[in-house]
Amino acid sequence: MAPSVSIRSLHYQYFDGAPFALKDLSVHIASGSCTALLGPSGAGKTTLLQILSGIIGAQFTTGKASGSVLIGDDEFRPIPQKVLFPSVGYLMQDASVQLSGIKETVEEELAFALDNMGIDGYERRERVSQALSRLDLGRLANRRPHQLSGGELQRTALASILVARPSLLVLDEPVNALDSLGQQRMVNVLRSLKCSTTVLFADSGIEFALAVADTFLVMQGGSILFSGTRNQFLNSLDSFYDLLPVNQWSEVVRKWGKTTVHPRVAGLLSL
Amino acid sequence: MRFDVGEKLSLTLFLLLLSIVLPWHLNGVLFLLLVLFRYAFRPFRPVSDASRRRSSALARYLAIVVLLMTIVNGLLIKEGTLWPLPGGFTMSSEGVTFGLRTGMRLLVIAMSLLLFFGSTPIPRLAQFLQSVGWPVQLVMTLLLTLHFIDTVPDRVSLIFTAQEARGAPVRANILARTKAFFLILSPLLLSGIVESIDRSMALELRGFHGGAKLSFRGDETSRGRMTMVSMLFLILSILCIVWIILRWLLQ
Repeated sequence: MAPSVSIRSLHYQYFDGAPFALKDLSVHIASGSCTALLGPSGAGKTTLLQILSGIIGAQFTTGKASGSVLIGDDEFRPIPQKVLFPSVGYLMQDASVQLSGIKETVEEELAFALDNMGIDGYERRERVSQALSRLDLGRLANRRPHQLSGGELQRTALASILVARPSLLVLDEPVNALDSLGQQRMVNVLRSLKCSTTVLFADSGIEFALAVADTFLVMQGGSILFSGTRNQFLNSLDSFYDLLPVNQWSEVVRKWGKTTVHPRVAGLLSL
Repeated sequence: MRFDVGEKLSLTLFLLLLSIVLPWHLNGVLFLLLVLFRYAFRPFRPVSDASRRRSSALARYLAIVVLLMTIVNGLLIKEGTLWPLPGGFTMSSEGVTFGLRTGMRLLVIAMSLLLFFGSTPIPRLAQFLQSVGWPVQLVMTLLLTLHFIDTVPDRVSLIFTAQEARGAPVRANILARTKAFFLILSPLLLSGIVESIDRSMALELRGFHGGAKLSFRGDETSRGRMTMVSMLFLILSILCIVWIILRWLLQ
């Protein structure tokens, strides 16, 4: 079952004396929702995602945290101290790093997580084949991972996470290397996961987020600035003029029928 | 003809030891044979175009180094027969022999390692090492290191291209290349370390943490069995070691 996520008064520093990467962050993410985490670079999006995956607690021993994280029925005080594999799947920003680099084919790369879980035989083949077809990777199954293009790598990286069937999927800028076709495919994949998986993804733009997310979070300086539904987000867009990329606003106005925009945006778009 | 990783590894060990045993002219012949061997036998062919390019470039550079080594030794050492050269310089027979002996040994050692690493995909090596009982953590560390080394030439080329695009003459001549290389060395290593950390993070996120369930699954042909070929090369290696020790004792 897809878990909900509740974070209460979370503070995080990478080491004692460092600036706070997360400051008094409180948020609730509903079970089975698809949530977009937006904000400029350095807002703390990646830190938050890595905390949820457990990698920060496991690898950054100098980190200082306070608060609590509740994922489903599991409460972590202050943060998870070990990687929450396979219940949480985390897609890194750099897809080339995400792949193990030690497998000879895309198919073997996908099976890597299953091998680590001890899944063998029919189920292994079934899961790999399902992930291949879901991400349209069938024709690349026998290709070497280092021969893939940026978009293919990104899809392979996501497929390598999905084979483990995580109930919480945490994605860090999942479309940064994808063309429009790839983005549309990603939209379809994330839509197909709705209800069965809670999805949280970070993005610095808004167009992809509007296409797929039902809940929106905007971060700045390590805190949540906004949390709400799509309509609430669209109605508040003007407040984020300085935080979100301007070049996509015309798309927002065109696609989502937003007619009232910030005067500076209107000037830019000659409205 | 089929060679598994264990057989290739034992052959490499034998070649390394043989380079110490053989005189310089036989090392020269062995080097040429290894060059031919690389093309003649499928199991020793480079696994990718990048590997082939890098191996050929390295072999060329090494040949130049050996030539320079021989000339410098011949000019600096003043023992044995001295051959006069223009400008009052002399070339010593002892110096040339010493340069050739060291250089040819270096060539054979480098070529043996190139044969092995150029023709063995990293996953196969991992499977083999794990199958012969290496701890998973050690295999992983080795893999990350090899992966980093593998990416260094591409990274250097990328940084040089970026510098050239900004007008820096980093590829103008050998001096400019050397200077630029030393300048990028520390950022190169730092970025490599950061990438290794990210990669280890990614592996952990996919359930790889050196636990009991981990496996580098592979084909059944490289399950750490000791074949006749491996045995033969290991016996020959032991004979080389015995010969080296005896030669040292009898000197």
